[in-house]
Amino acid sequence: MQKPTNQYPIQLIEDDEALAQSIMGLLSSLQYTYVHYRNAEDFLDTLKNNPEAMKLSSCVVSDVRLPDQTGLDILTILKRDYPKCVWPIILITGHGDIAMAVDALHHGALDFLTKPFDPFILINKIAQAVEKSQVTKTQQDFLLEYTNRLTQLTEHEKAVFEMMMRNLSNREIADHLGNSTRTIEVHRAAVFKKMDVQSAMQLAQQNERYEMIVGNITNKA
Amino acid sequence: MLFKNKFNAWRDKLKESLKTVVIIFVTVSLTATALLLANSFSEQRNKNLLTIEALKYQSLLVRQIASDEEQLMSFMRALIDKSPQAYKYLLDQVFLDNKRFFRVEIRDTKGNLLLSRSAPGYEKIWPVDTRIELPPSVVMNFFKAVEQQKIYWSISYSPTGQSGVELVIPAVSSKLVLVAHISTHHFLPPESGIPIGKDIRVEFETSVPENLLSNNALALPLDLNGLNTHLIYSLTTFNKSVPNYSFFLVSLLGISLCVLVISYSNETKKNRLMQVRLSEQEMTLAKQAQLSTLGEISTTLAHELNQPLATITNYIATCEIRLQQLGFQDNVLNKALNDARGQTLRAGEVVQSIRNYLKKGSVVKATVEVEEAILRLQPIINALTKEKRSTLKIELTPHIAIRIDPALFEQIVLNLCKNALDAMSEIAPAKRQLLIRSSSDLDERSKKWARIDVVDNGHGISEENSKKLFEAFFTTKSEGMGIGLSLSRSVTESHGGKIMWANNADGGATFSIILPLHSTD
Repeated sequence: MQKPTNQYPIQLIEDDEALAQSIMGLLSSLQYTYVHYRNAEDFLDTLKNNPEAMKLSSCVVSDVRLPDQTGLDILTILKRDYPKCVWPIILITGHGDIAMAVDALHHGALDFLTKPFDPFILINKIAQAVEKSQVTKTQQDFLLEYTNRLTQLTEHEKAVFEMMMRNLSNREIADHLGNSTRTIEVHRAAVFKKMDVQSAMQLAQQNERYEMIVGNITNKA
Repeated sequence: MLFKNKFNAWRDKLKESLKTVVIIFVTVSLTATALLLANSFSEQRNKNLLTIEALKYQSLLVRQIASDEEQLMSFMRALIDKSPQAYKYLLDQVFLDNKRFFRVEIRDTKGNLLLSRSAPGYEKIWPVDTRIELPPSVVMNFFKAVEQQKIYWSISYSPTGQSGVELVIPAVSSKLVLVAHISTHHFLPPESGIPIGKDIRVEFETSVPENLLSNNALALPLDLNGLNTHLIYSLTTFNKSVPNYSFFLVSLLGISLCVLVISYSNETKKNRLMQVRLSEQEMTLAKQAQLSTLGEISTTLAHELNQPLATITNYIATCEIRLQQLGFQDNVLNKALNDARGQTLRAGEVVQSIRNYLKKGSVVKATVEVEEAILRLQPIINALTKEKRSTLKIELTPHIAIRIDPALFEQIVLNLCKNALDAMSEIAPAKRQLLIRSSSDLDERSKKWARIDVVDNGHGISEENSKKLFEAFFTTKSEGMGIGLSLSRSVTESHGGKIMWANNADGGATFSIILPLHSTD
C-alpha cells in the first residue's frame, strides 16, 4: 500500500454517522488525515473562512444526499465560486442511477460510487484524486510564477522573448528590431535572468508547459 | 361468488340477446307494415291514375258520340227535301265520313230496307240477305225512335255470333230512318281516336263483370239512349308498368333500419366488453399503484440498507488493511474477510436489482454461465435445504450461457428453490428432495433455449391456484408477499424468456426458467 502524501486533510461530507466513521477508520488506517462535515453548509462555511486551503492538494468525498444540499450542489458551487480550487470531488450515493452518474461526471466530478461500494475502489479513487490535485496545484503554482515573471519583462525584452520562442537567431532578431546583435544579447541575458532559466532550451520548455496548461484550461472551458 | 358472477354474466347476455331479438322483431314488423301501406298506397295511386284516365276518356268519348249523333241528325235533316236519287249520294257521304260503320241502311218508318251500304267483307259478319229484315233486338228501339223522333241505340247479334251496336236515327218529320251497324270498336281506342294511357285497356260490356274490383279495373256507364252499356277500364301491366318507387324506398329504409339496429346492438355489446376490459385494466392499475408504492418503499429500504452495507464493507476493508500493515498473514482470515466483503456487496446488488425491477428501470444485462451461477448459489441453497431438512441434488450441463441481470437471475433461482422447499413442508423429511437441473433445448423453429428446472416432490399446484400463480400479490403462504413468481416471470419475459411449470406425474411440481441461449462464440 503506497504511503499517501496529501498535504491537506481529505474533506469528507457524510451525514450518516456510522458510514462516516467507517470511512474515517479506513482513511486513518492508511494514514490519511481528514475532516468530517455532517452537511454541506458546515463544509462551505469552513471553506469561506480559509479559501487558501483549496490551493493545497487534497480531495472531497461527499454523499449525494445530504440534509441541506446535494453533493451535486457542492460540486457546482466549488466550480462556480472557487476557480482556484484544486480538489477533485468523489460522489457517493445510496441509490445510484445512471442519469445521476452521467450528470455528476458532466459537472466535473472525478467519480461516482454507489453504496455499498468496494472500499478498495474508494481508496484508489482518493489516491488518484489527491495525485490529481497535486498536479493541478503544481500547474497553478507554475502558472502564477510564470505569469509573474513575464510581467517583469520590459517591452523590448518581451519582444526579444517572443522572437526567441519563434526560434529566431540573435542576428535575425537584431535585423527585425533594428538593433545590433550585441544589444539583443544583452536583452537575452536579462530575459534569462528574469525568467530564472539557464538556457534558451529551458526557456522553451517552460513556455511549452505554460502553453499546454493554458491550452488545457481553455479546452476545458 | 364465482357462480353468481357467471349467472349474472349469463343473465346479462340473455337480456342483451332478447333485447336484440325484440328490436329486430319490431323493426321487421314496422317495415312490413310500411311495405303493406306502401303497396296499398301504390295500388291507390294506380287506381287514381286509372280513374282519372278513364273519366277523361269517357268524357271525350261521350262528347264524340254526341257530335256524331248531331252530325247524323243533321244529315238526316238534310234528307228531308231530297229526291230518292240524292239518297244514294248522301249515303255514300255518310259511309265515307264514318269509316268504322259496318253498314248504313235507309229504311222507311215501317222498317223496310230502301237503300244500304256495307263495308267490304261485311258478308262475313252478317250475310246481306239476312239483314233485309231488321234484326230482332233492334226492332223495339226502331219503333221507339220513329215514334219519339229520337236517336235510339241497341245491340244486335249477327247470325255469325258477333255483337254490334245499331244506331237508329229517324229523319225528323220524314218517312225515312237511318240504321247504322257499328263495330263496338268504334268506342274503343285506338279506333275512337281518343288518347288514353298506354297501359289501360278498354272493353265494351253490356253488363258489369262481378270480379271487377279485384282486377284493378273500373266500370263507367256509357249513357246511350235505349241501351245500357259500360266501358270497362283496366290496367294491363299493373306491376311492371308503374315503377313502384315507394316500395323500393320503404324496403331500403327497412333494411337500413335493420342494419342500424343490429350494429347498434353490436355496439352496445362491444361497449359492455370494453367496460369489462376497462375494469380489468383498473384492477391492473391498482396493482401497479401498489407496486409503485412498493417501489417507493424499496427506494427508502435500499437507501437505509445500503448505508450499513457500505459501512460494513468499509470496516471489513479496514480490518484487511490493518492486518496487512501488521504483517499478519492468515489465509483463513484473509479469505473470510474477502468473502464477507464480497457477500456484502452482493447484498447491495440484490437490493439494487429489486429496486430496479420495481422501478421498471433498465436492468443490467451480462453474460451468465448457468453452471457457474448456480454453483455460486449452492452454499445458500444448501443452507436453505438443510434448514428445511431436505436433500439437494444438482444436475448441471456445462457451457450454457444466457444474457440476464446476474443478481436477478440468482434471485429467480433462489425464489423457485424457496417455493419448492416450502411445497415439501408437509411430506416426510426423508422424502423431501430438491432437484436443480440445467439443460439446453431446441424448439420447433430450431431456436436455442437454456432451461433451468427446479423440481420438488411436494404437494404440487392445485387447479384453483394454477390460474393465479403468476399474479402479483397472490400467495398461499401466510408470510408471503406474493411477489416472487410474478417478479420472476416479469424478469424472464423482459429477457425474452418465460417461466413454465407442470405438476409431476409422481407428485410435486417442476418450475422451469426458459431463456434464450447465448452463444459465446
